[in-house]
Amino acid sequence: MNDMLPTEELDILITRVVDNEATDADWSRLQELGAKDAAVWRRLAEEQQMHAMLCTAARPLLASSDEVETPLVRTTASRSPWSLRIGAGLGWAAAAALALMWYVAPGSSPTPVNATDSVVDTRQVEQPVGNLTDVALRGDADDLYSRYLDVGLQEGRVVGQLPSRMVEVQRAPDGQGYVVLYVRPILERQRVNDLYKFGVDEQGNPQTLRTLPANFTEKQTY
Amino acid sequence: MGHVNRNEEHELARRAIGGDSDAVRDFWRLSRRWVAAVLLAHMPRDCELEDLLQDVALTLVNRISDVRDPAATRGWLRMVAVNTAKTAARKRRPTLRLVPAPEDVPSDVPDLAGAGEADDPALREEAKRALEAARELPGDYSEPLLLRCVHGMTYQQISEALGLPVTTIETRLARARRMLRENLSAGDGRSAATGA
Repeated sequence: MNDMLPTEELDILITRVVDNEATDADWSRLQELGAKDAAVWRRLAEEQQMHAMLCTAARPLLASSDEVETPLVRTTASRSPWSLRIGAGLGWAAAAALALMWYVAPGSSPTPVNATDSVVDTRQVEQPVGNLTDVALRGDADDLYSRYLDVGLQEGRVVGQLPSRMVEVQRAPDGQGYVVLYVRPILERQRVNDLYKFGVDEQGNPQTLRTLPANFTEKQTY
Repeated sequence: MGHVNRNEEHELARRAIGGDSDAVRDFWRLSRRWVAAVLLAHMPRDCELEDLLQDVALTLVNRISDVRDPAATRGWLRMVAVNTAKTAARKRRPTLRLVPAPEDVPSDVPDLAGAGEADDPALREEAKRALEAARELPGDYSEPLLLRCVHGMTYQQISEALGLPVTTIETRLARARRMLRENLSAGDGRSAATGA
């Protein structure tokens, strides 16, 4: 392109045209510059193409924000569980798993505990709630899951998150979006006094049995 | 949610600030796409956009009553989004990979990373590269550029969200596009040199 063309001015003009903000005066000036150097039109075409590409890539991401509602909206009973953001279910799964670990961990309460009792009852979250602060303080599954990770990292219990694994993707029954099933594993560390495994006694009753580290040699890959 | 004018938006913000939960919800629905663009411009690459959107939505619900001027709500929400993205960058959690297992990912799973809607894989790849390059720009430049990708965001609306004059917005957009073009060309040059 001709080096004599005013670069800054041309950049602004082209930007206005690309963004549909150009005035008649801008178009006149652009035509004037284009008459001097046809490369101006090539630049315009390139910029329009680049903007279109950028929007092509960005818009699906931006549109995904439509799935994110304010906490109050998410708690209304009319909303289908599947319309909740994916991952929420996994968050509860992780919380439930945590509760189960608490149940089987040595030193825990000898009274059998229902795993769901140890975490916030999801039904509480699903009920319509009028008080915004109340909802926010209780937190939703993602919020609690996030807090679990943060606290777990601080305490050294959570080592990190492993990459998620996709299990299944299906079109949602109502035709709106997809239902995604995936596993989101978390690596945890815990110090224990003894090692136990689940087994059965001579009458076939379930029982925890003391075991040795050698029995935990099975490698997991992710 | 359909398009609303400036006065309607301010009225919605006023009701939201006053504690009207329907207005809070509607204000969020009106804003969430451009909030996503702001987050995209500032957040770390390995963060989940939806996670951060949830955080912003939660802050909106909890703190909107702190806003004094309804006309400033858009700017306030943008600051919430920027701070959320920066906080996410500070407290990134370790992500581990014990064994690389690309074969575990089913090949028919749709690309959930938002790689674009173009049918042509080459175009889609190019679009993805353009987006990545845009996100590599300094936030002052990537933010207006990505906000322009939100349907209906005019220079005036972007200037209100960013609290900057319209002339500054268009200057930043022009520079952003120049930088983006140069960076993409440099990338092409490097690819050609390495035979990629």
